[in-house]
Amino acid sequence: MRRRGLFGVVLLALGLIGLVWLHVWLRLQVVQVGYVLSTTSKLQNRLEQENRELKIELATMTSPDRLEALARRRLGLKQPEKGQVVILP
Amino acid sequence: MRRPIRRNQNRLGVAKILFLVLFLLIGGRAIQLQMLQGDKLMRLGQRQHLKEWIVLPKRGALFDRAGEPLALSMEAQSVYVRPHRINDPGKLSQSLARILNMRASEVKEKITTEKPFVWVRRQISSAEAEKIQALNAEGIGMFYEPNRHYPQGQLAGQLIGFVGRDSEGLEGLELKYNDYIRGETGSSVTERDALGRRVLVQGVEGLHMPPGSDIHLTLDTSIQHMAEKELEASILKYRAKAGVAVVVEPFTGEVLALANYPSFDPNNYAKQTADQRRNRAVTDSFEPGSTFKTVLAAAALEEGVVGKDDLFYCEMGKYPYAGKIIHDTHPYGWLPFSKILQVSSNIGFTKVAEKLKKDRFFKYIEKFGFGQVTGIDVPGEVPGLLRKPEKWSAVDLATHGFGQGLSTTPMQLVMAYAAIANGGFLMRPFAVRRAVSPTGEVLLENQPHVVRRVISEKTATLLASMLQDVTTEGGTGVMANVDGFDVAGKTGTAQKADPVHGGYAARKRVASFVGFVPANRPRLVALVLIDEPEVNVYGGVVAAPVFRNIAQGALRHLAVAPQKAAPIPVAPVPQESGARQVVKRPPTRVDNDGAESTPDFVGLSLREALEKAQSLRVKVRLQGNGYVIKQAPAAGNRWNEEGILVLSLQG
Repeated sequence: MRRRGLFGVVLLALGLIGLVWLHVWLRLQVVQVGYVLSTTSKLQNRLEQENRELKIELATMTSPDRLEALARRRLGLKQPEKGQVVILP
Repeated sequence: MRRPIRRNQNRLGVAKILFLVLFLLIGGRAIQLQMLQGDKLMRLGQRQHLKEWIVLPKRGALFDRAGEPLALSMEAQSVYVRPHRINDPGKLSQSLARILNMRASEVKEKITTEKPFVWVRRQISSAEAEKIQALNAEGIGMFYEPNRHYPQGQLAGQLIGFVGRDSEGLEGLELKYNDYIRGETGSSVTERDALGRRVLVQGVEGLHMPPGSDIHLTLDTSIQHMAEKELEASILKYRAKAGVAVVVEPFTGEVLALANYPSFDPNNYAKQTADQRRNRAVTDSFEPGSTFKTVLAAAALEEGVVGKDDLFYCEMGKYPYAGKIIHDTHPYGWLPFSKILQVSSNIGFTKVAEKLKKDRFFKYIEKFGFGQVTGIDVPGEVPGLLRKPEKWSAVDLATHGFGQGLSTTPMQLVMAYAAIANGGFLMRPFAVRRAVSPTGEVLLENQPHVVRRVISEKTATLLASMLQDVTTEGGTGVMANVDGFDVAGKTGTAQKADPVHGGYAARKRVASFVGFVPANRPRLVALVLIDEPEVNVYGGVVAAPVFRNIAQGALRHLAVAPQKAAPIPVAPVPQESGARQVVKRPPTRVDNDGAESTPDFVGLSLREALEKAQSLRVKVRLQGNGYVIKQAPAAGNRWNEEGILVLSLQG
């Protein structure tokens, strides 16, 4: 009788200790994932920023002022003269 | 055996008491820490490992009607120092100066103050930020701040406006639609570890604030670019002070282009003057001059006071009226009403105004929207100056008829012409089509809005056909003619009021042209206004060609098929290489770059043209009198065989 009672107490204690370990392990996992999330979030911000920078660069490169200057200077293009444009009805 | 057991029992007893006391001590301490000082200690702990992150608002972007970006936001870092934490100011200021391209003494002065916090440079590039990060110096730090970029530079700068350092719109559409564009600011508490790294234990939701809405304009970047370029070219050519060009879609009131000169680049707004920032099309009012005659003509036709062919005697150029003498630039005798508009006779219009009477005339001036703001979604609009008919002096009826004694904004004038173009409806102009939230939801949509019907469709059509005569041979606006299209419009050359001496300034003029094209099915209404041109002052010479060039480019851009068939170009016969030496060279080749193109004579007076021809040693043939309105071959083209330039003059 006494032995069975002791066995039950030991089992309960082990179970409790197991739960505590689980809690600690989970907590560590949360912190670990928190670090990963933080790094990923930083990366996301950086990529978004880079994307914005590239969009601005693209828009600056294709601004009509710059395109016209390039077309005239580098390619030697000019406004079409009378009759050179035929718009089909 | 007994004694030891008893002794053991005693020892056990002592141990029990010892443990009990220890347990009580620990328990007591726990109660003290947890319950008595718990709140205070928790705060202290949180201060160490929790940190508040401020999330800055992200402004929405601005796009033109085709989705071309006009304003974009990104975050740039700003460098600050905490002077008392710096170990070696001399060394630090040198390395900072090297990276930021500043003078070392300047940096040192900044960072050796008593202040706890000093900005070194705000909004630096990401390359510079990386180098500063690499310094890894104590007392220096960086902070993200939002930064606004206008990739098209000065394009539509005055219309778009600009944003201050704190991400608030300060002028233009950035100001008008600030509530939509701004975006939300927020903060979130996150944990950090012993090294100060963020540990996102609670997730990232709190760190993601929705950015502001995107604004889609009615503006067409290509037409805007053409308008700005043509306006600038004419202003430089005629040495004018300023200018405005506005292009509007007549049936909806959408603003396709709104150009101002001098230009303004919102990317560095602080370095530019208030004069450059001003959106003259809505904030400035001018005496309209002859372009206003159309309003009188519309009123008189609508009221049935005159018919298109009614004859008026134009007094051969001098007409005493209400104690003043009204002059015409050229003397005329009897003219039908349509011709009076075509040649822009002041005397003819005085007589029309006399028949209409001031009250009815005033009613139409108001109906056309003068004296009130147009309601365009751009800040700073003024209503112009319009006096009630009770306050008109006797001569005002006549002078109002040809656009003196009242003032209008360019926007009002262009909308009045739009009403004639679209069959009689005064529209409310607008520059923004819609605001779209980041989730794609349309938060605001501006629809075309009819303010009121001004004149009947019949009157509008009749007036449009009369305005068409202005740009045909014999009219004042022939230089506004667009190849392949009928243009309806009116020139204006207004005197400028002299604010110092009163009356009108002797030489200051405002040259303008406003009209629409194609005349019978208008696609666009445009106004060109050039302030204080010096070389030539006539609207038909200074402003009309700008209208032509803008309209020509815009119609081509909008792929509007010409009404009149353009002559089919003859393919040039390729020259054999041996034939090159036979080609006769024209006598001039004054261009430094050796180009064999013809010089520009348009806009010069007869005398100036002859002087220029002489100095360039160009042979010219003259037709007519006044100012050069046309030349063949056109400027910048190849010479014809004889090497003679044919100049047509008028004015």
